[in-house]
Amino acid sequence: MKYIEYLLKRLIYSVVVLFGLSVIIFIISRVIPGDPARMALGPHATREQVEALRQSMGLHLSLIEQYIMYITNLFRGDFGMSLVSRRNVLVDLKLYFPATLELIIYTIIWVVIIGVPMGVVSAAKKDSKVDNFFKTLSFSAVVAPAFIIGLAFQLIFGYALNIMPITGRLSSALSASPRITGMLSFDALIQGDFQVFFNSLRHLLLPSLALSMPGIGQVSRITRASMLEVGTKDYISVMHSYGVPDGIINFIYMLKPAFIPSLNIIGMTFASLLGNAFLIEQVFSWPGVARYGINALLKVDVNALMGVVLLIGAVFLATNFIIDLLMGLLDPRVRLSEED
Amino acid sequence: MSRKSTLMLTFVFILSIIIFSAGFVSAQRNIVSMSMNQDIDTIDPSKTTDWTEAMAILNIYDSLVIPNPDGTMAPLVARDWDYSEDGLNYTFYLNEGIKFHDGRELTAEDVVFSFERMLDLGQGYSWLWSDVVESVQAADQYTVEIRMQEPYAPFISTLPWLAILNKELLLENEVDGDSGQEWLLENDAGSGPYKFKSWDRGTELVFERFEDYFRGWPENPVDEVRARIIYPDSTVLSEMRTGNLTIGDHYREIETYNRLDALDGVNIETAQTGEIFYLKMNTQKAPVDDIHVRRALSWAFDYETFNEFISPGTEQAQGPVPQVIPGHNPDVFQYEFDLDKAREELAKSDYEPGEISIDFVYVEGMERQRRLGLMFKQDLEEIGIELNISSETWGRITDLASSVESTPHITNIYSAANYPDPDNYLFSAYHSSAAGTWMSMEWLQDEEIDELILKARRTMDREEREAIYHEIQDKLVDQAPSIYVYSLLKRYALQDYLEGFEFVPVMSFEYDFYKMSIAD
Repeated sequence: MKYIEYLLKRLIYSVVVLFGLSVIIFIISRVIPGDPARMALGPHATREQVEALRQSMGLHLSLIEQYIMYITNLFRGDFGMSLVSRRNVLVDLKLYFPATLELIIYTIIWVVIIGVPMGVVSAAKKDSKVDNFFKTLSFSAVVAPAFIIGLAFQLIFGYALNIMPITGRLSSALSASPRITGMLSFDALIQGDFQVFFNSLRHLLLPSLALSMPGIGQVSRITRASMLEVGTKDYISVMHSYGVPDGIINFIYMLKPAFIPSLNIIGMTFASLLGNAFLIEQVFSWPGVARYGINALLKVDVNALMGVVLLIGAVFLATNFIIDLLMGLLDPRVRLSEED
Repeated sequence: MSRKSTLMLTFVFILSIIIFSAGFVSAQRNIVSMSMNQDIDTIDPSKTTDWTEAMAILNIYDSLVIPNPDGTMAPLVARDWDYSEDGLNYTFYLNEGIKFHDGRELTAEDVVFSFERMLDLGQGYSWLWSDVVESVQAADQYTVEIRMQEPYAPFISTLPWLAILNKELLLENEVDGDSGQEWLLENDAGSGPYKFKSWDRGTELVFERFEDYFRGWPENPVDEVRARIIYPDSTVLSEMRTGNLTIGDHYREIETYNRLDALDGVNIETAQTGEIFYLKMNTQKAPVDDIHVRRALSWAFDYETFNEFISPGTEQAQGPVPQVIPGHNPDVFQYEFDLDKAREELAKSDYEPGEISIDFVYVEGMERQRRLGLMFKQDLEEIGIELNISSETWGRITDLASSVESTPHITNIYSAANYPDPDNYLFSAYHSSAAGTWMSMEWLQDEEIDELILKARRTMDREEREAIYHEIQDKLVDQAPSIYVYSLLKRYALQDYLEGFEFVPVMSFEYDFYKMSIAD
């Protein structure tokens, strides 16, 4: 089977998975306790008002009819009205998704530039003091929940030192650059607005760092393990005997094959953070999509909930797909084994 | 250390200095920022429900009247009003020369439009008027006449919830006959002391001072308000300490206020509020359909221990109407913790000790309510009543409340003050026609109480009406449909340079920034 065919097959699977996800979430969101219309209108609304809203949302129809209605609207780009924000869910997603995406991009940057070198150094200096130190650090980072680290950062940098902003994406005195991507720091950079750029970086630093801790821990441990495994290979011994400098061997010849398992972890981290960044978003008042999703769940905002889950599902699948692509590029065996 | 890594370190160092300094923006004192524990979902006055939204509307819009700290109503847009003896016709005389934020003048037409929009959309606080207001008309440019379907004496005290919208502005921005709903998602159409500046959903709402406000401005007013959504108490603490926050809101843990109080330059204000916490008993379901069982339960609740140790800083409520509400009966009977009296009542009931088992439901995630349940269970065991504690999500509880059969024996319910009138507490909880919501989980269905509540609504004379309310409160406490656990004390953390903060017993109307100023 050709590699291309393999990828195509994955793509088709993705669509099937997304369809299945939509059915499951649709059913779950409709059986959550609480009448969405009553929740939206409050306890004092009259029965007629509630009934009118139920009618206009189609809640009086059967589940199957409701689902078909939802999917048909979805194909027209209509995600339905959010009961909480009283606007189309798509408008909300466009607003909240970039905020989370931006946070995660910086998180992944931290994971790569801190976690990977930590692993490489640990492997190179196996069982040394540095290795043990990094080991302790990684394990603590993995076990401590990110929001605890976030709160600790707030107490240190906000309460005690008062040098970093601890809520929001931008100081109130500044206004964001005109929207292009919705990610403030990138928008500011593209349009050369450096004050906004640096201010948004300041706001991003603590939450993204807190969020990256578990990822850093995992990636450094996995990089270390696979570096050690690669280090026993004959071609590495050959390079050592040729006198190639250790740094070049470690970071170029060993890291490339050793990076593959880490890449997997990074990919999964990226996708799962979309939904799991909730507590960090809560702690840092970050207007992200995870927080929006949880609020939708609590307020039985069915359309918003559907929108968020479908979005996260789609990103999950897309990330998996991209990782498959990257794996093929990094490791020819992945490509070739599929071509038997 | 190699040259390369030294270079690298220097680079990182310089970069971090740039990041730390370049984006730094310092706080200004005439800009006030407050924390909120909850999102703002809408700033459309016809749709608001939560306290955060009420705060925004109060500052951006004007209403006909505005509540005083004692719960009575003061003139605002209406300089005066009168009503017919039968309570069916109201006439409001408006102040002249009130300007909307776009410079147009506020007239009777705008008041009529605002009323009609509220009732047409049927959301937010429209329930206050949908069953009582017949028609609203402009008699002339500065006179509004309102005709009622039936006499409704608390009418004036509901009017702070009617924000007056700029009719022409909204009609100009109408899309497909939506009366400006789309436009109001991101704009304001008010005449209030502050105008909408920006709204970063999920983070903060900013509004700035409206220079031409019709009541004028005192010295050192608050120029800009930033209402920031902050969830963790620790963040409020940090931001209050650094001065980035001027007001810490009232929904924090008592420990947080104690720590805030210890900070330099931060004061804690405390106010008795009109918000009540109840244990609502389903009076249609055995065994709590038996009045003696309900009285026994009222005697068996340890109010003191609860308000001292489990919920420090709250006070036992005296009957169904809070002390701060005009019309509260100061002589109403108050149950206290007395297991002997509880046993006596139980002996009068149709049940023997040991054969009563009662379901107790609290709201999922509410630690205080869970601990309340555990305390109550222990005390009840001594008089031979078994309490089965379980939790349900808030959504589920609203479902359970919809029928007598599914409403549990006891449910933990917390209720806010929508309008400072006993009617607010009595009608929606105890009148038969209001049954089926979480406010009325007692299912009282008592003809005499129904009649009295309606009679009070029809009585326009203030004193006469209060006498009826006193009677209702006595009767309710005697029937013991609910255990009145506490009325909430609200606490606020304020920087000491902020002056003029004053508690008002309606929702979140104490966050009235027009009244506040900055000390020199």
